[in-house]
Amino acid sequence: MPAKIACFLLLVFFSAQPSLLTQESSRVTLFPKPAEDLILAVADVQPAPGNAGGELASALETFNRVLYDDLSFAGFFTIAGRGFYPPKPIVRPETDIDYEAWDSIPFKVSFVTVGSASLSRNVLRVETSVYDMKQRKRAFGKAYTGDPGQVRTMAHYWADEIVYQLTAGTSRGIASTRIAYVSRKGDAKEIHTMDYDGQNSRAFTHGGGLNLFPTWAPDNSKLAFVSYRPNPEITIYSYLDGSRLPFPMFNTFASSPAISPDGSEVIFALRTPRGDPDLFISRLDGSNRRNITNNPAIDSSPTWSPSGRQIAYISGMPGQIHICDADGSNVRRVVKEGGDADNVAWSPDGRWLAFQWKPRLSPRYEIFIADAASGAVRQLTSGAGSNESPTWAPDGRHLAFQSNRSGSWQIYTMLLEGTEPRQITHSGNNTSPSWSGYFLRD
Amino acid sequence: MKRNIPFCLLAALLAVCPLAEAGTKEELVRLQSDVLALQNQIREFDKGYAEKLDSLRSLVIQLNDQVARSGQILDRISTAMENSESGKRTADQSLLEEVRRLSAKVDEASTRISAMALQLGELKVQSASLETAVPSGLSPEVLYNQAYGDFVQGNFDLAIEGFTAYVSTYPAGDRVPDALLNIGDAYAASNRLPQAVGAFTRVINDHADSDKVPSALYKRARVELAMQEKENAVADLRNIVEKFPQSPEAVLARGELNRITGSKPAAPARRKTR
Amino acid sequence: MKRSPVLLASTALLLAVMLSASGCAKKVSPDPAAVDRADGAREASTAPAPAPTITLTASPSAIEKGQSTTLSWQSTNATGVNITGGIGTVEASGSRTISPGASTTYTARATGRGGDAVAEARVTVSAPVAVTPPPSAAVSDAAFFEAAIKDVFFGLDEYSINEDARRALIANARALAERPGIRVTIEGHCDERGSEKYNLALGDRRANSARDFLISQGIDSARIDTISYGEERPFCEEQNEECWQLNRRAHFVMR
Repeated sequence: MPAKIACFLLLVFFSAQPSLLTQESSRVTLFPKPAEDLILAVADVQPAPGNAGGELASALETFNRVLYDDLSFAGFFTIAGRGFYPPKPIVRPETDIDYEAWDSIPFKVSFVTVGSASLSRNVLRVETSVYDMKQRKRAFGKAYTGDPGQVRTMAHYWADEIVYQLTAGTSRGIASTRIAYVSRKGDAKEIHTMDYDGQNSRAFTHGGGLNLFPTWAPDNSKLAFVSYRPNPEITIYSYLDGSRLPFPMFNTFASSPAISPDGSEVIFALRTPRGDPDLFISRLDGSNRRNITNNPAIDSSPTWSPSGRQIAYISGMPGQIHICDADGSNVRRVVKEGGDADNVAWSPDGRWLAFQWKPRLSPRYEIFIADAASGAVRQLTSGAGSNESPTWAPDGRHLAFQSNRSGSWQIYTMLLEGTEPRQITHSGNNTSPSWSGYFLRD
Repeated sequence: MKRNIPFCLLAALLAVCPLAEAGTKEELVRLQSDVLALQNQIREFDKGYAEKLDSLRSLVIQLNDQVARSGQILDRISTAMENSESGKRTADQSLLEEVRRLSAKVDEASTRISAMALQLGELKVQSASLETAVPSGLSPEVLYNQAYGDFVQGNFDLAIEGFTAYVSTYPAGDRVPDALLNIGDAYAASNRLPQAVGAFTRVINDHADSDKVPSALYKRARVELAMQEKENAVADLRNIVEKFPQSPEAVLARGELNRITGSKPAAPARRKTR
Repeated sequence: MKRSPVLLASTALLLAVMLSASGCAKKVSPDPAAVDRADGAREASTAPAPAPTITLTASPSAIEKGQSTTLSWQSTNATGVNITGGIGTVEASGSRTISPGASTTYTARATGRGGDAVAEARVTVSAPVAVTPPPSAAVSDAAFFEAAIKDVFFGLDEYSINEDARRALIANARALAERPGIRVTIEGHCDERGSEKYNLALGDRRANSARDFLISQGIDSARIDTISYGEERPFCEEQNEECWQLNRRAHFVMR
């Protein structure tokens, strides 16, 4: 089976790293802050002069749709509705952008993204730019070349580039991140990964057993999860070549692994001789294992602070959120309102703890965030179904979670404010999302 | 305490641009202290806050505007730098990078200021419903929480600054032992071990009634082990086991003692005075 | 757990019936008394007759089927005392040894000049610990296991061994002692209401509670493995308390 995974992953790896030749990174536009008042227009990328045909048209249809979705979900800009754009297609922006016409639409567009594309001998080339509508000139641009099957990836890359440039490098886009999750297949549960918009889903495990609670190493080089062999064991795989890393088997009960921010250690729950699970930290090969918590109660679901110096976790029956220092001392409760909480996740900027919580007398779980310093709580989801297992996007502005509001368990994403909820899986039964870090490129 | 903070911020930004390399860190600290100063003002206003809140909010708004304007200036500077004919492309590039980083910090500051403005708004709502209860504790909390934010993100220098400001401004604050513990941890994380020991010792000596003492003893012992001061470490660990046998740290201390001394019961060690 | 709402409802109903019955009696009874006094001894009593009182206890209140318990009662100011449950009219104070076949609530009613009084006592009767039939050499381990080993169930968010689970585990331990060749895996299961992670840990605690109990009954620990399935392998997939109770279990599997 590992060999199969390896082969498969090699394929994934090569196809996920397309030869998207990137050219000409132009000037950087600086903004003092992520400009929520910045209005961005997303003009369709057009076939370059002399290019026509159904295949290019359908590739561009995908490109334009994906780009629009990415940018409107980015949460940094207001996206100007397409219906207001001046009707003239922008093929050659130097001559085709009619600034007067753009000035006369009901809102002030700050930037517009435009582009043109060609397809020859099965090579798709998309040239894109952003124009500054105030200065009436080109701000920056890129060109992407690849197989037409990679058109989604190209659109994601361009969306991320726009976020990066227009936020002056203070944020990177999340459009090319992935989400790991658990997909039920009959009695089995397998780890899958998919693009952040739910597309391009692939099985990572194929064993037919129970695989649960995946989490990424912060640099995306590994996936740690729980795998039944036959007891639940801590299992760490390389995401790059699909090989399993050596890690001791305990043959009792081990659960909820999380790899440290520096990638050198893993924290997990393990049954102690006393009979209850406590938290332990070890190196990634299982060595230097040390006890972190010592409660005569269930300790579970640890998450690292971005600095790696604190651990938030769940303890007690029902579960309560605690924080301790990574040396195990200085334990304190964060949310003091009782209820039943689990799946706590520390935000990449350190400020928030996201978790699922069933406040006292409440019938089901909702997603909440708590200020890690003060414990002040804010509710993000409400309404139908049970909402569970929040996970942070690396930008700290987006969350994914699982909900059964549609009648089956599916994965959703939303902005930190709880707005823009999107269902990204639609069939079967999908749970335990874990959002990857940024993938290195360029 | 009538400092013109927006002006300071702008001055700091302008000053830092030409000599970004050298000045960034210092300026960041000044930026931080400006934010702290603003918090102090908030505290002063707290007493007669009904009408003062409004002026403070306008100050925050001004500050926000100023941050936005300074961003535009940065924009112009970067454009100017690009346009200036120069062979030192790489130097420009690093400067640009510096400016970009700076702008990220400005962004952070402005986010914090917005958060403060939000809190002010919430405070006002609270005051409307609770005429009698005056929440004078806003400032220490914000001060502590900001330092904590830096701490969990791994900005240890800023965290030490912030917690130290908290401890010196509110020496009787309820989170002083926490702050000292975090100062010690931040020092330990940045490998300044003697300073770490100093901070933990303050918890143990000056806040002997605090429930943070076992943790401080345990942390001090671990730092002492790293400093090859085994006797002191063993004394601290024994201290936890004897005086706080019910604490979670006692379990950790026993484990640590077993590792250090093996299973054999070692002779009692006397703590070296420091 | 599962039974309690039914029990509560029926008790409430019973109480309501009794209250309304005694309320009626109180209202009606003074009138004939007043008529009596008017006809005969007008001067005999102007003060109202004192109200009767009665107490009723069962000791012990919980027995196994086939055992007996003592019902005791005491009344004052009563002209007649009647106890339900097939006991009938009795003396003003006394006791009776009874052996009900099922749980029964006994109601004692004292009737007097000043009205009625009611007291009740409940005797809980549980099934006796199953006596394992003597093993027959002809019965295979698998068939024996199937017949003799029972799963045990847990309360909501609990892993402690309650009285029912204790009985089942004592029986399981006896059976396992008779067939030392049988090795078991105890699976811990949970209902779906907690989080998946928490339930996986809770299932582990349930399986281990059961294992620890068997070891305390003298079963060799090497014969018992545990595994937690949390909420991953439900026995029942509906969303109601009956179903959830079925899923909160330590499930015995022969290895």
